[in-house]
Amino acid sequence: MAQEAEALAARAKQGDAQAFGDLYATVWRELYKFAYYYLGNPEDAEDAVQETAVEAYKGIGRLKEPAAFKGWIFAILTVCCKRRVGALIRRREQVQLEERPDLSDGRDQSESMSLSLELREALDRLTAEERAVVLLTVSEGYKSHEIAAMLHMTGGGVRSKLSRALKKMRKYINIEG
Amino acid sequence: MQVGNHLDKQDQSLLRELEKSFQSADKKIQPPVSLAPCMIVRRLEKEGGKDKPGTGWLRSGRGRKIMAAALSAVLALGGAASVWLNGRRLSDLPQEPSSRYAELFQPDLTTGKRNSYYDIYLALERIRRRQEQTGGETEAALPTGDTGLQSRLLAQRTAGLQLDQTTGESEDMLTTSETASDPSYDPPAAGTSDILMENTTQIQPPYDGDSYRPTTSVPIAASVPSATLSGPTDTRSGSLSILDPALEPADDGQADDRPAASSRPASQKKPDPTTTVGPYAICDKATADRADWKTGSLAAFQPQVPAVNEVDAVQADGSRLYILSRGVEDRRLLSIVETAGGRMKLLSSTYVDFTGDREIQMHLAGDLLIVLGDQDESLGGMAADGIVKAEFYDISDRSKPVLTRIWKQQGFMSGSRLADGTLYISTTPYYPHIPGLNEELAKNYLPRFWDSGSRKINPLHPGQVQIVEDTETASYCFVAALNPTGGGRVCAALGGGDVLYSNTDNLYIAAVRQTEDAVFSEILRFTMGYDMRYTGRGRLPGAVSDSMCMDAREGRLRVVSQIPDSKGSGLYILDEGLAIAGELEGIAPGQTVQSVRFDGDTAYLAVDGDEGAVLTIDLENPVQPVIAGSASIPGFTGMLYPVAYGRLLAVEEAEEGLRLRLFDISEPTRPSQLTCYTAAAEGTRLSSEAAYDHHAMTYLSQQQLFLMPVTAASGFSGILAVGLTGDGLRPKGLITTARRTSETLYEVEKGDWARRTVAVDEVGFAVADGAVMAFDLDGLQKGLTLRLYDSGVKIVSFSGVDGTPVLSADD
Repeated sequence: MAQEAEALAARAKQGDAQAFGDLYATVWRELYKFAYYYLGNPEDAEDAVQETAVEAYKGIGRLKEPAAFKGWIFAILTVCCKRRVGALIRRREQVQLEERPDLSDGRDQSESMSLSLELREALDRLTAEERAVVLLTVSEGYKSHEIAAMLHMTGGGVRSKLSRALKKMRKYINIEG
Repeated sequence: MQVGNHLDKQDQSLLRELEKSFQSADKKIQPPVSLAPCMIVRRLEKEGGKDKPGTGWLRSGRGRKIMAAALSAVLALGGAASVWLNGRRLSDLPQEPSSRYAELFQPDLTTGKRNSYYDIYLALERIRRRQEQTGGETEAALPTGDTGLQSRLLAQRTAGLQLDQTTGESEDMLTTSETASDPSYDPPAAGTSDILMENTTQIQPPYDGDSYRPTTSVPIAASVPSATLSGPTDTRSGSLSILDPALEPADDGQADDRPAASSRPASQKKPDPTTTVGPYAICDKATADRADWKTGSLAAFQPQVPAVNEVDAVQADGSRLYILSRGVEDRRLLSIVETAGGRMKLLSSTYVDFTGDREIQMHLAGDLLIVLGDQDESLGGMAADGIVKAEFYDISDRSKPVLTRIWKQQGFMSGSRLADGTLYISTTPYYPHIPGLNEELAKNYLPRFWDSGSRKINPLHPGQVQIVEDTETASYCFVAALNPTGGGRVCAALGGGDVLYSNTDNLYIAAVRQTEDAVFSEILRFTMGYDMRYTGRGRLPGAVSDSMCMDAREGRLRVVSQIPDSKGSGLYILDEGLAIAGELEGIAPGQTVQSVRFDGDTAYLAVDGDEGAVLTIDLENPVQPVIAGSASIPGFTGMLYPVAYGRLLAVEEAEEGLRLRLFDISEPTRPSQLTCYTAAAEGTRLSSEAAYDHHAMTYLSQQQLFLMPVTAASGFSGILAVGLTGDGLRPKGLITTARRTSETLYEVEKGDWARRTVAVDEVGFAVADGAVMAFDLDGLQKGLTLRLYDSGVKIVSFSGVDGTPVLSADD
C-alpha cells in the first residue's frame, strides 16, 4: 500500500492528475464528511473540498511522506474550512433567518436527519480549532499525535483542547441515560 | 477508543455519545457527484487547478444555490403553473442546482474518445441507411466483426440456407470521426431551456373528508369469523374440491390426472450419460438459513437478488403494509397500513400523480418510498412519446408522506432497482423514424430527462452517450442512477434493450436483435454506484426473454436464451469482458423454455411441450455447464420457485386448474416429482398470478406455507394456502376474499380481487386493490377487512338473453 502511494505521489508531483485522483479517491468521502460537520451545510462543504483538492494538487510537491497523504490533505482541508467559517459568521449576521444554512429548518430533509439540532448548536459554540479536534477525534478516530501533526499543534495542546471542548459542549447537550 | 484516556469520566461518556451520534449520522452524509474523483480529475486536467476568471463564484456551491433561489423567485413571480401536489406547491420542493447532474463524460469504449454531436450524427446516419434497406424498420445486421458469434449462429442453422450479409455499404460511414465540434460542454440547444413542467392533470389536494372516509382501527379477530363471511373457507365442505394427489401423466402422453391413494414418484428420464456426479450441497440447512429465505415476522415476495429491491404494487416492512391502488376512477392512491397490536390502522392515504392505465409500482427502502411507472407524456425531441416518471417520498412520518423529488426520463420502462439507497431506472427511448440528418439536427435525437430540482428538460450530452459497436437500432438504453434527495448520474448507450437484470454490482440490459436469418441477443452492462457508467456489451445466440434468464456470480454472467427454429435453449456464460467463456447448447430441442431460476451453482429450467421437463443444470465448472438431471412434466407452462431444503415448486395454470408440483432437487442428478395437486373450486379452474409473476407468491419459511392469490372465472377470488411437508405438499385451504353475490353477475368488483399476501407474525393479510383482509395463518379463519377507499361500486350484470347490461348498485 505504501509503495502504491509513493508511486502515485511521484506521478502526481509531475502533474499526473489521474494519479492525484487515485490518491484523492482514498479520502474524498471523509473529507466531505469532516467539512460537512465543520461547516454545517452541503454547499459550503462542497466548496471547501473542491478548494482543498485544487490546493492539494497544486501543492503536492510539498508532500514529503506519501504514506501520510491523508493527514496532509486533512490539514489543508482544516485551513480551508477555517477560512470559510469567518465568512460564514459574517454572512449569518447579514442574511435573514430563512437563509440560515446550517440549522435544520425542515426543508432539506437530509440535513435534518444527520445531526441533531442540539449537537449542531453545541459544535457551533466551539472555536474553530476545538471543533476540528473534536471532529477528527470522533468522526475519523485520529489519535492526538496525528491530530497534532495535522493542525500544527503539540500532542498536549490537542488533548487539552479536546478536554476544554467537551466541557463546553456538555453545557449544551443533555445526556440522557 | 484510545483517545480520551486523559479525560475525566463525564467527558469520556460524552465522547462515547458523540461517537454514536456521528456514526449514525455518517451513513446519511453522501458527498455530491461533483466531488467524485473522476470529476475532480477532470477539473484539474481542464483548468490546471486555476479557477476561470469571473466564473469562480458562480461555480461555487453558494453561488449556485443563490442562482437557483433567484430562478425560483422568477418562476413564482411569473405565476407559472402553480401545481398542487398533496398540498405542497411544486416550487416548495428542494432546489438542486442543475449542474449537479450528469457531468459524467465517458470516452466511447469503441473509439476511446468522447463522443460529439458529429459522432451521434454518424451513428444515426448509419441507422438511417439500414432502415432504407430494410424498408423502414430498423433491424440488426449480422455482425461482421464478431466471428465467434457468427460461427455460433451458423451452427444454429441447418445446412443449405444462405446467409445474406448486408452490412457492406455501411462501412464507408464508419470512419473515425475527428471531433470537429468544440469538445467542451455544450449547453442544450435553444428551444429546450427553462421549460416548466406542464402538469396536464390538475391534481386536487387530497380528500376533503366528505367524499371519502378511511376506516381506522379495525380490530383483527383472529378466531371469530364474522357473519359476513361467505364462500368456501373450509376444505372439508363440499364447495371446494382440491383433487387428490395425482400422479403426473404417464409417459404414454395422456394428460389426465388419475386420482390415487398415494403418490408415487414419477418415472424419470434416463440420466444423461455425460452428467457428472459430485458432492453437491444444494439447499442444505445453511442455504435454507440464508437471509433471503428467512422471513422472520414479515413475508412478502422474494426478490430475484436479495439485496436489490424490486418494484411491486404492494410492499411491506416491519408491521406496515404499503399499497398502491387504482382507487376510484383510476386515480392512484398510496395507502400505508399499520398492523401492529392486533389492529389494522390506516396511517395515511395519499394521491400520487400518475394517470392512465399502466401498472404503477413502488420501491421501498427504510424511510424512502419511490412510486414509478410509465406515463404518456412527452419531453420533446424526436423520441416516441412515453416516459417513466418517479416520485420520491420521504415517509419518516408514515402518516404524512412528503414528496421530495420528481423525475422523468424518456422511454418506457425496461426495469428499475433500488440498491444501496440509489434508484436505478432504465428506459428505452426510441426514434421511429430517422430522416436525413446533419450534426445540428442530431441534437434532437438524444434522450431527455426532467427533474424537479432543476426544472428544465435536459437532453443528454453526446459525451454521455456510448455508441455501441455495430449498433443498428434507433433506440437507447437510458440509465439513470438517482439519489433520493437530489442529483445523480445519467448515461445512455445507443442500441437499446428492454430486459433488465441486476445484482448489487452491475445492471445488465438485454436486447433481442433479429436479422433475416438469425436471432441473437446483446447484453449491455452498466456498473452501479457513484460512477455509474457503461462498461461493455456481450452477444450470444438466441433470445433472452426476461430478467430471470440472467444471473451474475463472481464476475461472470450466466444467461439462458431461446434459440429459434426448434433448436431448444442455450445457456451461456460470459466472462468479465462479456465474451462467451462457456456454453451449453441444444438444451431440450423442439421445446420452449418456460421458466428459469438460478440458485448458486445450479440452474433450473422448465421447458414445455410433449417432452416437457424440469432440468437441473450444474454450473460448478464455469466453462462447462452440464445438464445434471431432469424430471418430466409434459405440457408445462408456468413458473418455478426454488424453496429451501432441496425443494422446487412448479406452478402452472393447466386446463384442469391451478397445478402445483413439488420436486425433490436435493440430488441434482435425480430430480423427482414428489406430489402434484390441481386446484379447482366450485367446478371451475383456478388461476393465479403466481404462475407468471414471482411477486405474487409468498412463502413463509417458519410455517412452511405457500400463499398465492387465486381467481376463478365463476366469480370469486381468494388466497390459496398450501403447506410444505417432508414428502410433498398439503393443501391447507382457500380463503375467499371476494365473490359475486348474484347469479347474474358476470364480473366481481375488481377492487376486491386479492393480488398479494403479506404475513406479519401469525396473521396473514390478503391485499386487494381496495381492501386488506386479515386472516389467521393457523386455522385460515378470515378476520375483518380494512377498506382503503370507498369503492362506489358499479357492477355490470348481464340480464340474460338479450345481453343488455344493467347497472345495479353494490349491496
